[in-house]
Amino acid sequence: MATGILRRAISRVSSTQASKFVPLRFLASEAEAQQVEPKAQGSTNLKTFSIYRWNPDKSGKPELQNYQIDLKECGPMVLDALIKIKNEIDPTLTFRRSCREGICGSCAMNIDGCNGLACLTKIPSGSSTMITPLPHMYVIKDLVVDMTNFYNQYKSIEPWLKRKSPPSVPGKEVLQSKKDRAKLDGMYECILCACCSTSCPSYWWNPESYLGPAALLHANRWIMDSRDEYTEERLESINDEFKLYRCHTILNCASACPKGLNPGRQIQNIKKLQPSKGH
Amino acid sequence: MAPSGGPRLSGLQKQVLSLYRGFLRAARLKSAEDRRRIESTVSAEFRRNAKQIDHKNFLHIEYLLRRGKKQLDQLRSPDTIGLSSINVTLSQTQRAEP
Repeated sequence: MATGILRRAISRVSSTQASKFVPLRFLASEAEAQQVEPKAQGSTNLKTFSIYRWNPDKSGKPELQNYQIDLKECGPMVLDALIKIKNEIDPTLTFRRSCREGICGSCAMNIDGCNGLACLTKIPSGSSTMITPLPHMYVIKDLVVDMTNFYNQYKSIEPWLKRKSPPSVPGKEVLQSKKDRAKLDGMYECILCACCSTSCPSYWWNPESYLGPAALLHANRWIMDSRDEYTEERLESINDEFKLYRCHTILNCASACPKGLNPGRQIQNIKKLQPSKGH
Repeated sequence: MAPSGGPRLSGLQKQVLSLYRGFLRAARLKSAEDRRRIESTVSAEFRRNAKQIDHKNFLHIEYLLRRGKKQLDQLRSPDTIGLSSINVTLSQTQRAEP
């Protein structure tokens, strides 16, 4: 699993965010063109998907179940394949999905050893692909994991605007300069899919006490917000051996993030802003 | 193996018992009528699972523990007044279909 994440980290180096999205669009239209005349091409392109199955209502152990799909009759993304399997082969297959365009973060899963959103991940070439739930999370059923702890950690950083003084014009919004707004770029885009946190070895070993890259990225988002007046209190509340300093800059988070963000860098920023106490 | 109620309990058994205790304590915060209903539902659920589930199926027991903890958190909230369960067996649903 760790090697898979590393492999992806290497391939990520050469691709910027912009170039990552353009080819996906292009492929989508290409696949549509293929679907217009699927029979004319004649041959089929079979691919095996090994998908993690576990049903709490049956007493069996978790297992990988194989499904064969004709890629010629399937959309380009992993989510398309999953939906096709659920529609046509096995309606009991369980997974979360919603927007199918990488904005809701529901379909985060582990595809061939790399965390990612099924809707933004192209079906890998090769004859078979393994799909498992996010690593080191409690499974509820099949690919659905228990996110309670993850959301509670997000809640613990108090992700809302906190003010000591009322806005200058009562009843109006608090204004912000363009420069101050630009400081939030690279953080506000986070959709809390949990790909980063569940790829982080530190988070694997301390999921309860270490906040994880996603929650810390959001902590930094509010620390850096010019309108927020509780910066010091926020810094103080996460200035903790476990909550913050379990981050050892492994940077699996940056290579896992499907939105191309770098939580590791934001955590670095929090550490820099902390009043030095001999770390 | 010690019989139930014996002195030596495994960690998992202790967790199950403490969850059960948590439910009984949470039920105490509700009205007398709700309390009785909660206690009977909870006890029936625990006894049913104790009978049905293989004692060595740790994966399943741990899953039920996590689910139970979540339900207990919900029950603890003052807004929750009771809990109920529905029994849907496969044969029933099949009969219900036209």
